Amino acid sequence: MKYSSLDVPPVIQRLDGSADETRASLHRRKFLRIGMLGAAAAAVATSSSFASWMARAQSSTPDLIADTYNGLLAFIVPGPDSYSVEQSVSPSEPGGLAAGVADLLIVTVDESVPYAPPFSAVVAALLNQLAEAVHPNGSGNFPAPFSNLLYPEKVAVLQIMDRTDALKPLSGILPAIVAFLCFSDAGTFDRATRTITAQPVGWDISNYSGVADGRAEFRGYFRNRQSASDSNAQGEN
Amino acid sequence: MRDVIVVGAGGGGAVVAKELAARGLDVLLLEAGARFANPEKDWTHYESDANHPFNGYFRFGPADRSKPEWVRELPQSTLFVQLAGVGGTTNHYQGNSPRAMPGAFLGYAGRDAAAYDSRHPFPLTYRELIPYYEWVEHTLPVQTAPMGMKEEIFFRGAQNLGLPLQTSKDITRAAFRPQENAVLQPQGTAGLSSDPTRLRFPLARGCTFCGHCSQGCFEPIGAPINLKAKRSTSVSYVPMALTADQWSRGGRAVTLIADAFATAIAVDNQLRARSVTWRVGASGQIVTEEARVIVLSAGTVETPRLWLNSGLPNPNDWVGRGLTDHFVDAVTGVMPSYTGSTKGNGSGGRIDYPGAGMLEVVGETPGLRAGLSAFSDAGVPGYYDNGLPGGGYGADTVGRLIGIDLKDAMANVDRLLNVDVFTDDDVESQNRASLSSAIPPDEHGPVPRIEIHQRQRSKRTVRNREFLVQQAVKLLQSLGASKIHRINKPPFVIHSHTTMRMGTSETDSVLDAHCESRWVRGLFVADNSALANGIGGPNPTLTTQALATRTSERIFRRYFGGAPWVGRESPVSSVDPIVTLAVMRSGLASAQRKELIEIAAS
Repeated sequence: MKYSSLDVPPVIQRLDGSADETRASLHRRKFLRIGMLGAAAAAVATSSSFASWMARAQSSTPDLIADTYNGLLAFIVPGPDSYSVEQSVSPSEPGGLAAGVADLLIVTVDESVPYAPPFSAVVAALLNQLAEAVHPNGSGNFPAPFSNLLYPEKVAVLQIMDRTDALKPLSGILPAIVAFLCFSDAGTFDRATRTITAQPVGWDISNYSGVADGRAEFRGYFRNRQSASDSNAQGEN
Repeated sequence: MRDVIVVGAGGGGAVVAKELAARGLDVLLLEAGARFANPEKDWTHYESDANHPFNGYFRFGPADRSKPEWVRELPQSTLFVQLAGVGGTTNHYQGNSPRAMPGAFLGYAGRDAAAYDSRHPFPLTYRELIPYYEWVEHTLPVQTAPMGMKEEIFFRGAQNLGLPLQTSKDITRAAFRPQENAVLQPQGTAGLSSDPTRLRFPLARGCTFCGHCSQGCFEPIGAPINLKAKRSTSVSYVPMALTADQWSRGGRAVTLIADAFATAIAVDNQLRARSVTWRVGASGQIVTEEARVIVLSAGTVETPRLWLNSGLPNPNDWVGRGLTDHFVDAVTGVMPSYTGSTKGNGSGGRIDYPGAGMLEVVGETPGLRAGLSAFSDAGVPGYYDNGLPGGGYGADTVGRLIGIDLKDAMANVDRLLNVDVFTDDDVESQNRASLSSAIPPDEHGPVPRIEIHQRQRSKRTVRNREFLVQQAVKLLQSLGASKIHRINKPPFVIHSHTTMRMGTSETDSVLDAHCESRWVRGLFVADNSALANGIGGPNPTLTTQALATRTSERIFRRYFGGAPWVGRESPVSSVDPIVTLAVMRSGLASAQRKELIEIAAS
């Protein structure tokens, strides 16, 4: 399935319209605070749909939020888990769900914008609302509409975000954060001891040899040249 | 009253502090972030410890890691990578220290002169800067990079493209070369062993090929702080500044205060710089000190922010404008055999294309590699291009790598060959740092807004980037890559410059030819923001440091009646035994063993 701009539901196209300053400004000053996701949150708050996402976020349960982020993890780094199966893209090697970063992802999003309702809930709300726009009356095995989408439908959600001024900063940074967490040591890193408690899944699925104080990788100097000349030489072929 | 207050202990400010301390001036060096006095304790090799964007020790935020990073308004999809803390962004840089393209300077008369941003040249000649390059290259020191497997393969690709080898430090033509890096060459067991018991100093010296440049270099373990492999200013210029009384005749040790965020610069009624006010992060205390000269080195965003928040003159409205960022892109090849992309120098090889920019072979740890691969302006391959059709030039995909594409590409991170694209981009007033009206002020005043008009860049800038991408794809094709991915990034700002630019014209620059403010006497800028343009694409740090050295001379001559020293004296290297002894006697070293002192003394 491939979406063009003509396929985007009218309700979503309106997101690019002028922001409802009255509604948005009710929340903006206390909502926006810090960091790159804070900057993304600043942009989100300019959307005319911001108030509806806030309302939806306030009524979201922790389970619904977690369910949405599981669907997001499966989207960016799919594996054999049930969320990946639901989207019909489920390779056999472990994916984002197995990386053990779901809680950390939510905390990361919340810490970036530490006000009520949690920013993780707002992001979940907008993902789910866009999911309903992409696939009205959808159903599936999970509480979160986003997690019930097929993979191409999740791509369509990202496409809508990419072409919506208020959501571009978020759609830019969010997949990068998810990928970073899944492939780094984040899932098993213990902040108290500042070391890992187990081999990270991200290292397994990237065949990374792990951290080290050094490697036997030195292969000499190109043509044995250990210094460059100060003079304005022309170089050699 | 101090002689000089330097705001910011990063790549540029630390240079000014050290140079003027060596001349005996009373220098106060302020740093907004953490002290990072002991890298072996402060840092680890773990990505999530260092590079987590919101609570990693390298986030752009306060010394107290329990506090979040500082806010910036980014009205577009942007990763703006800057570090706080002593050493600044040089703590995670790869140490790449090339000289600038000569065509970026005033008076350049090469046949390709029209290929550069000729409207915004440096207001000095390239030749004038060379002695300052040499001074910094000796001080850091800068050395020719050794090869790991990724460099060996990259050089083979460059030769496949018919490119010659550049053997001089100066860039003279399109050519490939081992990087000139501020990374100590490996000696002893360094680079030859992965056994940690055999990698301690002094058994190992210089770069151990650990592959953790982005998490901060604290190798070899046990080395005195000034002998750590990568020459971040936190281990080179800052230790020299703090011990200037010991290694420089007539020198005077710098006073360094970390966790001190400058919030205001005051001027007198003659428009002369007078004082700096800062906020202490831990206590919230507000402190003001006066100085005869003030040097701003807070970075490409915070320097113009401080200027604007201080209400300093801005008659031509160029404070913060003209941001250049090398319009970075990335092309990754999945290679048929081992590349060792997670090991060795962050980048040990490059190709310069004068008038267009440069390509670098780059290695990264898997989290950063995956995260950056998922950061694109060009949609999702096979689904939508986000209004950026084409641009593959033979690449298999253009856009974000997510899902199966990401997993396939990352299946063996040590079989990737990553070629990063750094464009010779034009100074354009639309790209800028200013003050946000959308986000409330923080404890340091109105917060910065960084505006980059990615889709409206100049024709030359876009043409250069596309040319470089084509070359990267050709290189990877010639090496037999089984898949080639172009990411087509949104603003991924790892090189930022020119927001307080020096220039030839009063109409579009903030600084004069000596990096002094055009409108406030005794107020200088010595970070990347002072650069006149993007120097043609090469990594900016060395040029900023050379310029900062030149600025130091100017300050010493004009405001303290001193004589210049570059070209007349021999610089002291930061790895000279006299410096090692000084830092160890001062308790700055991370190793204190008596035998190390003896080694240093020998």
